[in-house]
Amino acid sequence: MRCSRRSSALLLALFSFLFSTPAGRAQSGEELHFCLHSEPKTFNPILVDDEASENVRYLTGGVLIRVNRQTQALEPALAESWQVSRDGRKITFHLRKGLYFSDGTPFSSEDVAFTMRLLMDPETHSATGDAFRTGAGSIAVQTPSPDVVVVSFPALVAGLERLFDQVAILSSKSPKKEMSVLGPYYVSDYVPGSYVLLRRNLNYWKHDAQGKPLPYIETVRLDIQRNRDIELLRFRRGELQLINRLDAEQFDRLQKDSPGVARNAGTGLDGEELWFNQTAAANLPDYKKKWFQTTAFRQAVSLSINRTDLARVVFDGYATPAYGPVSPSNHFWFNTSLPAPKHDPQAALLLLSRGGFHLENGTLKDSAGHSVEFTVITNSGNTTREKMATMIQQDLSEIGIALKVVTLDFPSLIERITRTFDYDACLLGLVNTDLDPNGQMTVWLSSGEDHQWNPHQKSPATPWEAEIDKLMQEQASTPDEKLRKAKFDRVQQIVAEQQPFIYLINKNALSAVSASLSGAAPVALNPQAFWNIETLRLKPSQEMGASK
Amino acid sequence: MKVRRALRFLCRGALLATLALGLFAGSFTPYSYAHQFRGIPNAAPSAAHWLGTDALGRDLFTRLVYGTRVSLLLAPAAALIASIIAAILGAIAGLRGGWLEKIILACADLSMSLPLLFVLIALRSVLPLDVSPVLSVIATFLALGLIGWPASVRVVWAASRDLRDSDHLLLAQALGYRRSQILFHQVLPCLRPVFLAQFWISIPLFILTEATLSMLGLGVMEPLPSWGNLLRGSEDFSAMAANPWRLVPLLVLVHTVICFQFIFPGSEEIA
Amino acid sequence: MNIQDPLLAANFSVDYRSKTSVLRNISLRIQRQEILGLVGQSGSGKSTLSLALMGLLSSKSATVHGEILFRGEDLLKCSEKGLRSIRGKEISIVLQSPLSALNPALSIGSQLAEAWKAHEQGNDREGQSSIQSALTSVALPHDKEFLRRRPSQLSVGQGQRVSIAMAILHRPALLLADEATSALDPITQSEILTLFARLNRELDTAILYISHDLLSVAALCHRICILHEGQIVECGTSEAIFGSPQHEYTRKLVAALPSPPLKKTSNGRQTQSAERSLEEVAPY
Repeated sequence: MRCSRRSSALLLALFSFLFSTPAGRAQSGEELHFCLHSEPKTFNPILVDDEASENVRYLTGGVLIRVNRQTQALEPALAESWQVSRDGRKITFHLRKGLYFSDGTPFSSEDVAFTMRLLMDPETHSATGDAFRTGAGSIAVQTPSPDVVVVSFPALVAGLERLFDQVAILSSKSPKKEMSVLGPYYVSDYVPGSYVLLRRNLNYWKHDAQGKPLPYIETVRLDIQRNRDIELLRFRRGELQLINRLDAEQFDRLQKDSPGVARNAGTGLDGEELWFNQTAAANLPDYKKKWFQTTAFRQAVSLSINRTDLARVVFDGYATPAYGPVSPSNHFWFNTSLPAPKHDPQAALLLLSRGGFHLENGTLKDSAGHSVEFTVITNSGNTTREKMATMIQQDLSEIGIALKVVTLDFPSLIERITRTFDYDACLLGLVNTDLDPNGQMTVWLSSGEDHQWNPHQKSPATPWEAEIDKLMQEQASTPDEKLRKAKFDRVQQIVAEQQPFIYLINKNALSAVSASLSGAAPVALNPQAFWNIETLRLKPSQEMGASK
Repeated sequence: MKVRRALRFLCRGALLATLALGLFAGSFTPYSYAHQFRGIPNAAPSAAHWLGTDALGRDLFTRLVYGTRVSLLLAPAAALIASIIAAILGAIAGLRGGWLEKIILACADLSMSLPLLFVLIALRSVLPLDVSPVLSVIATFLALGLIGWPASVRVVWAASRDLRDSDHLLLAQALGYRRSQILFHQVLPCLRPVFLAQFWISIPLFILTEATLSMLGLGVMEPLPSWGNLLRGSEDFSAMAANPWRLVPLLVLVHTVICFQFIFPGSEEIA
Repeated sequence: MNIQDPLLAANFSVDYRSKTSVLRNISLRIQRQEILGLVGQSGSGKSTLSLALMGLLSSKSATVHGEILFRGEDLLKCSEKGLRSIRGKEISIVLQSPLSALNPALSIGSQLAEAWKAHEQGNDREGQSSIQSALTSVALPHDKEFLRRRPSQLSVGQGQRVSIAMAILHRPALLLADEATSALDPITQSEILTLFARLNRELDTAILYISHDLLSVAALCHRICILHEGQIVECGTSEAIFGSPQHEYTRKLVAALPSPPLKKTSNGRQTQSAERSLEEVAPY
């Protein structure tokens, strides 16, 4: 009873919040309004390590090279052009001339040098900087002229240019330090826990085809709102103009009410996956370890899962069966020769019988006569994962495997999969923000900490893990994109054969865009609906109606 | 009085019917509570599926009757455990008095201030993973029973304390009753109505607690249904208007909780 | 033990932990078959006195000094087990309100049965006949329907008769009546007083009749003691108390007695025998 009383108090607090928010806040001029889903931890672009801060960095930071979120191709930004040396250790930028920071400080190669040095300084502890750190030693930055910068790295950095999409240039001279920016907007006001207010950067370098300065929209108000249901409610009342990362259920509801508003950008980068505990230190009976370490067993489980049903029933069709670690929406890196995921219980049983398993009164037994049953853990409170697990439960029962589903609170789940290794199998999702395989090094290297099925290995436990280690290191040590792609294609192929992660589905990138906002073209990549913030426009006529 | 009595019989009948529905769930429905008709998730009621299907295509009526079994059998068991613990501790505290009384009441206050939810979360994380769903359900309710006594203990304690100062206990002593006579023939009959009231009151409480726990994903494990996790399936209230039949588990829960309030005679009728 | 020895001879004081000298130098003698009245205001220590005599004060964090000789045996030196065998069997008690003294949760029959079982091991039939005779003594029916009733289904008078029946079940030598008629209406009160007088005659039971009501005490008792602020200030026959009260408090008590509105006696004194005056008291 005490729990229910608490939750009703919470509900009350929630309602009072709802009612205290003035419906349809008076909007002066043009103001785009949407939500961050957590508190931004920093406004210093060098230190960004969370999604909310990253969104602010995308909106305010000026970068040398921009990855076009739609085409996934590189586009010149602050740098008009650039060259990477043959050995992949040196990059030369030719900067645009006559640019100014938002506070009026002029922009020059000195600023780039300053930013790069700060970024690579070990004292800074920059997660963005870590991506450049492929070998021991320090970087060298030269500024032969105010508009040329040469950055030399101690070792080869594969996929070097793309990494600059994350590097927002700081001013070396401005007294406002990191608050002085080169991006389309600057942070004008911030009330912790409440909102971040962005204003148009009058010094932004971009212009549209008619020579009109970009961005069009005067101010952007980012409300800090953790509750997704409230966010949707406010969107429906016209207080917000866009929502990113909608879940399938919300999307479906929105789709039914106002079809034009719900935007489905197709298969996204985020996936859901299942893996077996293959750690040597696991506190499991030996016969269980043997199952989980048997390739045929993992393949059979993968074959018996009906991914089409998962996508259709759990995600209302807003997901696609997953091929592997790379989503098909990652145009360059996805291995198109991978076989499509199959659902074939008969083939699964055949595989199992070859591996010494047999069916006995509808129950699968191993060669020693142990009934095949195991527990899958997932985090409690996540209904979609619980639904997926329940469906997999029925799928596996068809090949005689008894699956138990246990939901745990997140901390104890993490404790089990990273420290005690006291679990059979785990169902979780993986958020991919980086298109490049270098971002997944810790996942694929057998010594990596995100190598979930068997992390922190001193030497690879299996020949195929050894091969993945080798391929990953090779792709990271060549600047040749074609060669890198070939290596990583092979990694994807090995993963498809060995099924260390059983990939289930890739969720669609779902967003909502108000009819009052024009120019929006949501994409699968972050930041889905506002990647082209500069060219978005608010329709004046709709704006009045939005207060309804 | 007459209305109340009629109401009482009505409620008892309704509860018995609900209980029978749960006990003989298998004969009311041709389906398994776990089978997913994946072609028709979220279906509306039909001749084949009286209450439609849930998000995974499982027959809702089947899940409701099996869920009734879980909730209606285990909640009274948990209530019994909690009430017995409360009765023993409360009677000791009330009759013995002194330091023992202080300790018991302090313990009750302490465990009342412990957030039940976190105790259960902690319990779930230390429980081995490979327990069967049935066992985990029993463990959940056992834990509810073992944790749920402090609220009742004060009631029993108050009644016992009144009893300690009462004339009839004095008379029993003055007439030379044996200790056992005083305990079993003077004290227990007086505490019985209090005990029964606590028992009946806590049954719906435990049903609701299980529901709350299931809403948080800590109660009865999938695919086993309970009223709690059925309610959880209908937590999206905005969709409720379009499919009102989804409210049926809630109605059954409300009806049962109300019935439990009426089935035992009022205090004026006991006397 | 000499037949001339008093049934009860007590000399004692009582201290509570929070309040000392609740009773000081109480000296009481009750002869066999005697009805002794004890009169005192509320707060004068009457209930403490009756509890002390039954050895029930220990549980109330009180200490008793002195001696309470019952048939020559000092109850204060008695073990709890010894006391238990005396309570209810040798010395019994009737409390003020039958509604609170009878267990509301149990039927009359089972309460009487429990009282019988407290001191007898024998079979049920013996108990039934004892209960029947006790109920007959207090002029109550003993049919099954009556025995099945709960205390709340009885009138106050019936309830008090049941209390008395429980108290005399084992034919005690001494019956303490602690304000046993104070909660009753006048007619019932007189009936119960008559009953006490009759039990005293028929069962040879000595009675310590404790009350704040001098008139009812005078109607029933052979001798009267006056308790004032924890001390017995005066003891004597009814005639002596009414005729020539010695202590100032007794005088006040006597002077405060109301006189009957219709039938005025010259000096307001009642000097008849106990049973005669009982009839006169009855109409109040």
